[in-house]
Amino acid sequence: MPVQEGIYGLLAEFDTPTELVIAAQASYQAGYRRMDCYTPYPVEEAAEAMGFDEPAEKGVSRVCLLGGILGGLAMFTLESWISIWAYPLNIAGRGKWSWPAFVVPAYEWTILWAGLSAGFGMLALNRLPAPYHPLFNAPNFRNGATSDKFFLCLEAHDPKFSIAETRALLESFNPVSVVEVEH
Amino acid sequence: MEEIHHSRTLPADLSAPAAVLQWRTRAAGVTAVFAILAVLDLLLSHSFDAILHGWLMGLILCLSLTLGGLALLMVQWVSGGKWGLLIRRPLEAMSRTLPIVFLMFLPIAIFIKRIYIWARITHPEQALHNGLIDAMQAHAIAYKRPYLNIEGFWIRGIIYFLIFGIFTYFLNKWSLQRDTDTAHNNWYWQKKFENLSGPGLVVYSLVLTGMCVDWVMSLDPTWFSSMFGFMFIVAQGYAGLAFVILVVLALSQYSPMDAVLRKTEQHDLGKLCFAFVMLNIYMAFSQYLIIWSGNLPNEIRWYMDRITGGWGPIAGLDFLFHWVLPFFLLLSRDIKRNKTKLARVCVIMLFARCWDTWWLIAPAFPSERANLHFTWGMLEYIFVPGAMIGLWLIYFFTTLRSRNVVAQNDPHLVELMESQHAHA
Amino acid sequence: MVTPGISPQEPRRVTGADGMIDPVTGEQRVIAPGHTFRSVTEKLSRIVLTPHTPVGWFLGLGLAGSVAILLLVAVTWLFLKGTGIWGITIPVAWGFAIINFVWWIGIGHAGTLISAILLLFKQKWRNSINRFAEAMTLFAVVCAAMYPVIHTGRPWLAIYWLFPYPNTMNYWPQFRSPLMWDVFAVSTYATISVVFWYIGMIPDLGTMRDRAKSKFARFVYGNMALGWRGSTRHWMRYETASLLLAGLATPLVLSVHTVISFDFAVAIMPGWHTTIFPPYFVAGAIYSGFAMVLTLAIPIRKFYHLEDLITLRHLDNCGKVMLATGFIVAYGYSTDIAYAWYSADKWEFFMAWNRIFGPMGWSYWILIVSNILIPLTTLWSRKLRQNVVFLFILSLIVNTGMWFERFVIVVVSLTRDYLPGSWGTYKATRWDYMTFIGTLGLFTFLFFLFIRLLPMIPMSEIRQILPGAKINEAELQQRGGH
Repeated sequence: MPVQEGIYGLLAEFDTPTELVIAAQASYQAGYRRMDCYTPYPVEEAAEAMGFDEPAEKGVSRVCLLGGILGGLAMFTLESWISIWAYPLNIAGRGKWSWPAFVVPAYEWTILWAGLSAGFGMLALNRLPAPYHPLFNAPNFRNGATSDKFFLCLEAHDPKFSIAETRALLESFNPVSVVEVEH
Repeated sequence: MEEIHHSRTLPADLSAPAAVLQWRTRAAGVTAVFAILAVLDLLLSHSFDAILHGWLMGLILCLSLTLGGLALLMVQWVSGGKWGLLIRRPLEAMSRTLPIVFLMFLPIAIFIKRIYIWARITHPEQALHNGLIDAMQAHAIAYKRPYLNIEGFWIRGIIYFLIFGIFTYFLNKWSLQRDTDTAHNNWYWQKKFENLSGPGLVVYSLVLTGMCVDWVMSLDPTWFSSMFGFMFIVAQGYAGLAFVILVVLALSQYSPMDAVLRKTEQHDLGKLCFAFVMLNIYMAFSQYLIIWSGNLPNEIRWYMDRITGGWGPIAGLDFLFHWVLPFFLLLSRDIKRNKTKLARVCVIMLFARCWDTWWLIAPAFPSERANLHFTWGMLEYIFVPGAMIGLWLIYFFTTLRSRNVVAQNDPHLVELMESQHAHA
Repeated sequence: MVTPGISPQEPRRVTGADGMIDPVTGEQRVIAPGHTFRSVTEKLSRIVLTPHTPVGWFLGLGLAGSVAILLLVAVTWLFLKGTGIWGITIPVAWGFAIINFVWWIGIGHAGTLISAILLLFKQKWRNSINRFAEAMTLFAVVCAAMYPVIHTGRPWLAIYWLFPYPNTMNYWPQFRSPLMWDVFAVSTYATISVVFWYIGMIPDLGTMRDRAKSKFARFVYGNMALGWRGSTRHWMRYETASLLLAGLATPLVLSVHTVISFDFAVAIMPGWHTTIFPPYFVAGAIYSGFAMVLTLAIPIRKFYHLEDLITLRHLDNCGKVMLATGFIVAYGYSTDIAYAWYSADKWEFFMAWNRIFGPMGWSYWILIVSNILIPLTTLWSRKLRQNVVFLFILSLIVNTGMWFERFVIVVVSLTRDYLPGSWGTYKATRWDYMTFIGTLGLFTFLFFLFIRLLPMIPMSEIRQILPGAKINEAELQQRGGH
């Protein structure tokens, strides 16, 4: 990715989640789409206000389901192949293809791969790990975003973005501060 | 984006909608049709035993709706939660159908000798000599005589119903009293219900275990499985929950239920269904795996009776209805949140219970053991339970109508009026 | 026992001086009133980021570490001499190692249960205790997994029959054996527990990164936080992933102890081959796990003054869960005996008799007294469930009882099977005891490290249940222009 320069966006800081949600809702209604909220704990109302409906997006769930199905199939196939062709054993006269016994490891692998897919899938969809992010340049962000402050960032690559107008919009929500975030 | 900010109000009239009466009329129609079919089929099959076998199946199914209701009622008192308030009144109505189940039990107890082999064979030694039973059966019947005898069956049966009756009586009585009380005493009532329901669940599981040994497991006196009672308890929850969700969804087309049923709680109930679907397959598979691995003659025969001689596909379909279909459907968030679709899943689950009960009971009888074949008598497994469930439904709708369908004086009622969120 | 003395006329319990009782429900609060986002963050991050490590912590760590040395010695000697140094014999080929394996892994189950099932059930009270309960799970699994591995005697040679990989002998594992199932169940359990635990910690690691003063701490926590910045889009996917992981961990935790119960139930030993084992093992695991949660939580909340976050409500609820699972365990014991008779099988019946009245019958009575008689009578009482000292002692009693339950199942069943000619007895050696006590030391040692280095109470989850997190809907509607 080429080095980006200039402004990343305008960051407004709020003290309560309610103020944040109001601001996010109004910005969305004003036509902004490239924006995000930053909170010290999940605020569902904020996501709804920005029109982001994760459960409907289904990204994580799909990755998880796919992982689970593949994991289970892989183990069951492996067990069947081993017991029928690779190393057939007669254990107490049970058939070579003893599916009741094979269900157990296959089940464990379904869970294993579904779980790994959900965890790592979530990180990948979130583009994490990302040690650098422009927002970390804002001093008040580092101070509060992970403890007790609520932030709304309207990003510069939104077509509606203009420093003066966007700042005026954000100021109208009575935030604690509005700062420019550099790349 | 889901509707997020809207306020709701609780309607003044909380009584059951008039539609319940319509449903009752329909249930009466179903009962009449199945009863007539059952009688006509008797003329073709000339087998009174077939009626009794169907009757036992119908009894087990009605029982699971009644006692499933009672168990979930106690669980929701102990666990708390908004979903509990939502289904409380329908659950109470289900538990109050106990008298009709008792009446259904009487024919089984009266014609006990025509159903249970241990009651029919009074002298196992002689029967073995005459070739009526094999050595394993003779040993089991003689050995288990102190438990499996006709007097014991009657006495225990009556005690079971008395115990369930006591819990049903108090839980229902207090609930009505709470409605007329003030919100000030919420805490008092909550503790009172908890104090009855906690021990109630302990007693329930013991009594139900006894019941399922007496009524179902002893159909094959040689067989035993210590998990069977547990499986039976889960089956009650499985059927009871599917049924109560169906009732709530149907009621939610009308006032007052439409005001209290939110997507969030519907989703929760769907998840609970999913939990029961998983719990059921867990039990069923564990029992199968243990017995399959052990491969001991006195245990594996029970499964052989039920998977050989044409019963294999029935067992496979049982697995399909009981687990595969509900599992994959309930995985979907959209299905859990859509009333019509969730209702369809519940219907599948109830159908699975019927199918499973048939698979559990029918192969225990000598004519059907490891030998699935068509007889006119076989149809009684559809007609008799159909008529009995219809009868049960008539009674259920009457009890449902006798009270408000939304309980009052519960702190959760306020929460149910709040707005809801997507993740929840 | 019914809570005595409440009548409708009596007013609700008065809010205590400390305000810990919620006036609406009359229940103990999940979190003390007066906490804000900042105070929670401050209080919890300070435990880790403080430059002044309490002396007590060093003492505890040192003590636990020296006990863990016993394990090191015992295992070294084991690898040099072989499993003959243990008390195992024929017929009792499974001794302490398997008892401890089952015991430890059972303890771990409460952690997963608290973090997964209670999340699905939206129980707010889980939020303060889930992190360290999960840590407890991880460390318990570490201790547990060690036993079957060292039981092989030479674990470095056991790999080819434990893991399916193409090897030069063209040998493949035997998948009809429950011991193979164990390999997959326990390894999956360990992996998913780590993932669940770590993912749950990412937002808090972000907080640690932002609050750390020292450069080194910032670097370490910064890397561990993976660049978490609390974006709402991230949070929403994160929530979905947490729910999915919870949904997966729940059947997983059930399956793990079920698979362990298969180790026994799949065999045709009297006393082992019974179908009630899966649910009864799972319930027993949760029972002992919650006891261990109490054993750990009670001293920690006292030592770090966390009574406002781990309140009596948490202890009370743990007591309730123990009551419920204890009854399932009691149900298991009773069905075991009932079916020993009902099975019409004389060996089964003899087995039950031998457990209760045989030469090792004392162990059965210990388990009945400490798992059933003491806890299941006292835990009905709300007063006792909120009595910290009593709960602590009870948790130790239950953990002992659950250890003896496994002793009865593993050892007593094996001493006398079908043929009197093959009967035997069992006596543990000093190496058995050293290994067991050593894992207790290792577990405590790891736990001490954890509470010092990582936030033991999830700050982000506590923030969610603070009153300040509630969106003011009236204001929203008024100002949001709806």
